[in-house]
Amino acid sequence: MNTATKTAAANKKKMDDLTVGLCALTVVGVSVTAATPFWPAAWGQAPSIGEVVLAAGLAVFLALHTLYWWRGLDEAAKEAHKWAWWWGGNLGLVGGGAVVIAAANGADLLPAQAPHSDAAMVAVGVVGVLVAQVLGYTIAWCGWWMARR
Amino acid sequence: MTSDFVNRLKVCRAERNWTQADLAEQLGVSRQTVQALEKGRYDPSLPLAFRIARLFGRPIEAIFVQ
Repeated sequence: MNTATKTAAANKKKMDDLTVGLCALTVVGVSVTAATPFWPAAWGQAPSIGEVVLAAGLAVFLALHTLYWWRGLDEAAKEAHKWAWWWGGNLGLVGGGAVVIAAANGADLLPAQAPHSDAAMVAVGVVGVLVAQVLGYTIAWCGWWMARR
Repeated sequence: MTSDFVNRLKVCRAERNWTQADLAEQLGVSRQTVQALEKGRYDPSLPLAFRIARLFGRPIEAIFVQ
């Protein structure tokens, strides 16, 4: 077994351990139904301890999963993602900016049946920019690999 | 999108009758990366270049030529 294979095997074991951890976390999240103590009243009704543990655990799970996934990529794959993040993300942001400028100039971008409140407009802006960035990222990532085939 | 270097990676691989997937596994990279390297469309980092040279038992300058 060479070094690269050993590293891949170690990485897979870490991912497997994480999956087991997530399953245990889900069991705790579903079964512990007592309300979270010391929950500020201003934040509304206290969630269950299980929900809080599950939410915190999911955040840690996602962070670690991303870390192990990133470490498992080879250098060209990392380069493709970094390139796509910069160019695709930024060009997508420019596209999303066009939406913001159009909205600022009075264009009604919300569907007729959607509530035309401030919150709805902010939500459309956030989702619009996010979608544009993800689209830009995907196109740039595909382009990077297509150019190197 | 071509490199400033010419490399003999494909020749070295063919001498050993390895597929791109075989070489990729030995180097710990994806087959797509090997393909990009062979076509000169991706320049490897210095550590990867050393790994390639060590794998084929040759100095780096015998594989990557400017």
